[in-house]
Amino acid sequence: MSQVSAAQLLAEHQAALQNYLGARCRDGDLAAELLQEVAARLVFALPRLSLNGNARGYLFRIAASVWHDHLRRELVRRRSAAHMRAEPAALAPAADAGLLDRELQDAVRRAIDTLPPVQRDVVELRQGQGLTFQQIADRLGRPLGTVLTQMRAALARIGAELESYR
Amino acid sequence: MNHPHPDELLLFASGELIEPRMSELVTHVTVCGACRHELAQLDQSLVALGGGWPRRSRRIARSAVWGGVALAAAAALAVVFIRQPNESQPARTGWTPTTTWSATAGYVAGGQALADIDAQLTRLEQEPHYARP
Repeated sequence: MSQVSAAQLLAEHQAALQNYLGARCRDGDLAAELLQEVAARLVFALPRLSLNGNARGYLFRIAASVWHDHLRRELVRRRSAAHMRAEPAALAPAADAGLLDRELQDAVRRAIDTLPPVQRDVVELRQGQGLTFQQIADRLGRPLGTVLTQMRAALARIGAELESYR
Repeated sequence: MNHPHPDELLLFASGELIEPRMSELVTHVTVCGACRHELAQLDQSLVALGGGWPRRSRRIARSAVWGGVALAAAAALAVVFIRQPNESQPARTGWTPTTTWSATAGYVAGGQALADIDAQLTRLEQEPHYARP
């Protein structure tokens, strides 16, 4: 699909995407900035995509991903800033951020290892293969509601495990 | 509007809720503090999960992109060298080279789109909050 088509797609869905991002971050400037990142990712990915008439769904998934990436950067930044305040002579900022990232990865891995297999299946397919929840439901032969409940339970377990990290 | 079911909030947080519920929830979470709080909890766990997941696939994707760029650059350079007139033969008059060497030959793979993205990424990297503590 051409770049013109990407521009058309964005023009068509820009207002809805901006509303979605605005509802997430409650900051008009940040929402506009995140929308730029959505546009960049769309332009980059579009030549390899087969949208099958679900461009809107794909755009919202990009928007959710952009928002979560922003939150993750903020999380690492805040955590690193707290470390620097506590230990002014600590590691250089970039290295420290990497270390904190690894701490987070270890904590998440530990949390995933404690999940019941039915929940771990869902998490693995979601994170490892990037499937939508509907695709996971189809793959596992479970109702969508069951998959969502299992994912929420897994997220609750992971959230509890990461309390100390926040 | 009633509070959405937690499953719908998860779909909303993941950008997978379909219309018209997506628009309805956008409106609802804008005004409902309880749902925003629940959404924030979901976001935190989703973010932690995404950040904590091994990034093998991302690295593969990135190396595939740069591999493609490198291949395209190599192909562009090969075209330049192949098309250069042989000095032992008289150059044909009136011929205009169709290919010239360019420092941005790597962009051949993605054309203007890749150049735009590169500019966008450069701008993001220069911003204070981007991947910095």
